[in-house]
Amino acid sequence: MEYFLEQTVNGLAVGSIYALIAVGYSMVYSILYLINFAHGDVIMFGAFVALTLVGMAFPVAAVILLACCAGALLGIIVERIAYRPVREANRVVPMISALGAGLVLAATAQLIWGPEVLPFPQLLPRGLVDVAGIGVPIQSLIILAVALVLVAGATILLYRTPIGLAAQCVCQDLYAARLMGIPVNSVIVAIYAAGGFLGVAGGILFAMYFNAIFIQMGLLATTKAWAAAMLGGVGNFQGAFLGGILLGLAEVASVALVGSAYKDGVSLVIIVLVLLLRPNGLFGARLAERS
Amino acid sequence: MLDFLHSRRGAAVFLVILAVIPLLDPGRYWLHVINVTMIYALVSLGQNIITGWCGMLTLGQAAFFGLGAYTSALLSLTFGLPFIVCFFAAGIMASIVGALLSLPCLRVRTDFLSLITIAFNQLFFVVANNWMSLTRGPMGLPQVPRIEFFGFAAWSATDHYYVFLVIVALAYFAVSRITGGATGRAWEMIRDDEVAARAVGVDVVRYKVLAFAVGCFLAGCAGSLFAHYLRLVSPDMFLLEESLIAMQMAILGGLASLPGAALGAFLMIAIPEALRSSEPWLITLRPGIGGALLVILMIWRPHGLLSRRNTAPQSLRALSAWLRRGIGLDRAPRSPAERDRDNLR
Amino acid sequence: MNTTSSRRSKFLGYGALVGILSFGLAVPFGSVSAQEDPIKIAIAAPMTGNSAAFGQNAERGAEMAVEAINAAGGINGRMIEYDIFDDRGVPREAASVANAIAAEADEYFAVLGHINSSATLAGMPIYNEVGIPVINASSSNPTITEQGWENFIRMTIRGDYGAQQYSAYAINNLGRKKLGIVFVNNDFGRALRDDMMRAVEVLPAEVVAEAGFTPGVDKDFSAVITEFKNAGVDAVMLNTEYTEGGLFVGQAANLGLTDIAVVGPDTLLYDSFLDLSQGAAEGANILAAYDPYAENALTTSFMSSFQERYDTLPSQVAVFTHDLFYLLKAAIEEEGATRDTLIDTIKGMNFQGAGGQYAWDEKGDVKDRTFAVIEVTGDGFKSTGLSVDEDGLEVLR
Repeated sequence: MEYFLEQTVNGLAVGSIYALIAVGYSMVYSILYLINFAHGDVIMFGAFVALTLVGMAFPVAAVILLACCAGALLGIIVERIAYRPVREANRVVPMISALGAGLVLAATAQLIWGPEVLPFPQLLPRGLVDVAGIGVPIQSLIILAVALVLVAGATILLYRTPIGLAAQCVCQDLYAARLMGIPVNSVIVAIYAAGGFLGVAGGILFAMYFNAIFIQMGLLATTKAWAAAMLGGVGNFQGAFLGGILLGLAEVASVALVGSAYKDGVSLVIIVLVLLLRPNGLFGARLAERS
Repeated sequence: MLDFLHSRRGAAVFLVILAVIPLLDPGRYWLHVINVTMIYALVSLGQNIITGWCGMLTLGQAAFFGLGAYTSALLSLTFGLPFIVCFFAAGIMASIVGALLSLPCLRVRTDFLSLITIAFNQLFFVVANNWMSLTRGPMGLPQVPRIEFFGFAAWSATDHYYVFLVIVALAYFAVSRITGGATGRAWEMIRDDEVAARAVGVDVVRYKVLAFAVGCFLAGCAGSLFAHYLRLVSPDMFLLEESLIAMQMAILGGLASLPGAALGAFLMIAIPEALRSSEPWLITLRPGIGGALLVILMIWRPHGLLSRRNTAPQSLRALSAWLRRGIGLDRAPRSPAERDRDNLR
Repeated sequence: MNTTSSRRSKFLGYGALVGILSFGLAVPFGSVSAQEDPIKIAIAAPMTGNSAAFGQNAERGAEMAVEAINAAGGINGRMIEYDIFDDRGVPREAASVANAIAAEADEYFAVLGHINSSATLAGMPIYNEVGIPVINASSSNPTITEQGWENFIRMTIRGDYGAQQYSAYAINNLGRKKLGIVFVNNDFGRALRDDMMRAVEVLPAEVVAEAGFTPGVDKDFSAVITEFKNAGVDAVMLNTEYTEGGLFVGQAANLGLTDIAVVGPDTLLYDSFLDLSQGAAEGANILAAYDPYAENALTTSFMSSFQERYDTLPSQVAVFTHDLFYLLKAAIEEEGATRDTLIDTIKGMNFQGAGGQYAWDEKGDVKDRTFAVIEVTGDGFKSTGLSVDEDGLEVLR
């Protein structure tokens, strides 16, 4: 029983990191319906920026804020260069150009910070707290709390603010939105910026929790976030959040039950099986196929 | 120019050029590069059938490529079957698995298909990497036999070159027959408007499964060639990254274009080779330069270099205007009608 | 051409467009015409991709050795030059690299490479075909030499022998009974894990838990650590690179898996291992194929000048790459080796390098080399001077 609970705690911790990354990802994914392959690399780049800022002895809060803003800026740049020019083409095209932009970001990061896995400074306290006889890492609790706050913030942003409502119009019909006088370009820029901001927050927690920051975490983050967003249901932040948590739990379950060598395969198969039963994801609303 | 490339005469000219290349003695290195390119031209062709003609975004071609490679290598290593048998077995194996995989996900959203194929790719890697008694896991299968048939054995790069050239030419010819006929028209109709296709009586599921079967067959055959050419199969040759490369090939070269499929393979294999250099900064930038090319190409010709579906301008002057509009210097929004004409599904 | 920087770009000449328009006709330019032809070595190593750190170490080892040798007059007056070919640690790319080298086989005296065993396996048939000698620093997979190549020698100790030694050290020297094996699920880690399972069968201990993980991707070991804790593991065998090794140890400490012995190979012998473990690596035992702290002039001078130049510890790859150049020098100057006799000459040699004493057997494996036991202490790595208690391993010979 204790073993089971400890593994559940592990799953929740890694799941809440995935959740955070997935929420940022789901910004772009649910509104523009674009598999944003650059998202992970934006996260990676932002986390490296945080690493550099720590090295320059900035205070912790400033580091996190500045790095997240760097993420937002990168999101804007990616939108400008790799998304806007091809926005009207077949939806595969922006996906490929995003992939290209991601490769450029990864190569730039490698040129600046090198190919090695680097340790990430611990900005938050570590250690175990005793919760009902189970040792729970403090960082897991902090991560879970941060993820909850950010997902709530994102939800408010999307459903309670003018720009959020405009974003929903864009999601439904870009051309109609333009005709109604919504500044489509600015709204999309804002979506990308918010996605980058949230993503980097997740990326910093990721780097801190595993004490590792590395170039390849970009593609890793993209696939995990996408899987989580699909699992939770597109167009739904709570869904992406819960999808991330479930993905973390699925990974831990596959390690504990099948073996760690099968982790990536098994967790993806679980997601596919879930989606076969519920094609719109666990919490997704029915969406019509958008062309 | 585009019309010439897509014509039968263009294909014949291209084939003759390819046939004389080894006579010019380009050296074994560039022959090897073209050999690998030709193998990937098959993969790219398979991807193009599924994505370009039938409009399904599959992201797991590396798994079918690998499935073919493992099938062929294992059959020849374990049972000593001749190459020809292994070659077709590889294609058929990949084809059957591909068709089965496509079945459950044909009625759902396109992204779901992408995710399923990605999951299949991961699963393939995990199984190949862990099923020690069959695949030798990460150690891979070394010393796969050479390509041999009817008393001919391929030893040098030039031998392989001509074997691959014949196979690739046959495959392209066969695919041109399929896509030029009723099947190809059905695929394009499904891609452009699935509802309309269904309304006029096209059996959508059947044609989608068929596209998968043919596309994966080609990937499997390519895998067999790859295994017997490199004489080594290991799981890390078939990672998800390779699937992304296959997709980039199909899209860069040009969706629903036969020469495009070949060009895409050439771009993705030969340009990185050309950039392979001993300058450290250039080595680091190699993937980055490839990425930048992707972005530029997507802006310039979103349907790929050789696709005849591009409405993008071809003169330099028009390109710059188009780029300016793309980057946002000129704001002349295109009408929905314009957009619809350009769009695939 | 006898400057210290003797590397030149190999394929800058092929612009991408040249490649497209006339890929058949491109001819390399920039042929070298010094009074005395240089000895050219092709280094095949991963400079990008997941194993890029190893390629960087190979480059540093080569840089140090070649600068020193050239400054002292080269090999019989001939300068050494090397070209680096990036194989990204991937077999397909390794085959391309091998073909690129084979296309100019006459230009190169020998190939130094590859790093990853699977890359070496992919390249060997091609090198063998053109008869170019291959001298290898760190591919430890036993399969390579078991294939019987006659143009191949390597510096590192075979993985299967290593696995027996690591197990014996944990069981005999440290007296542990319940092993937990962590392995990176690639050709390196998987082979070690399999040979460890075999070794543990004949030694008085058992493997109570094991966990493989995907290289370059998995960084989260929490579930594995909880499993190890639950199984009562008292010694963790880390068959990993330093990255995952360091992360594992660090995360284990955070999750309260303490009082365990940690034993691993010299892929852990990097400063990064200590950094990534956040201090939790203290007390870990590393069995190195060479002793970086050996009391001999060659070793200490190499270690200190490397440390000074790059501000980090040289890895196994750097040490062996460095030694390979001196081995080449010794083979040519002292034994009169030519390109054709290089491998046979080396097999008959006894060579003293920065990594210790080397001798080779018929297959091209090093023989009579033992592991140095290095311990992690509060302020870095320390040689213990201990040797592995091989009691019980005889049956495996």
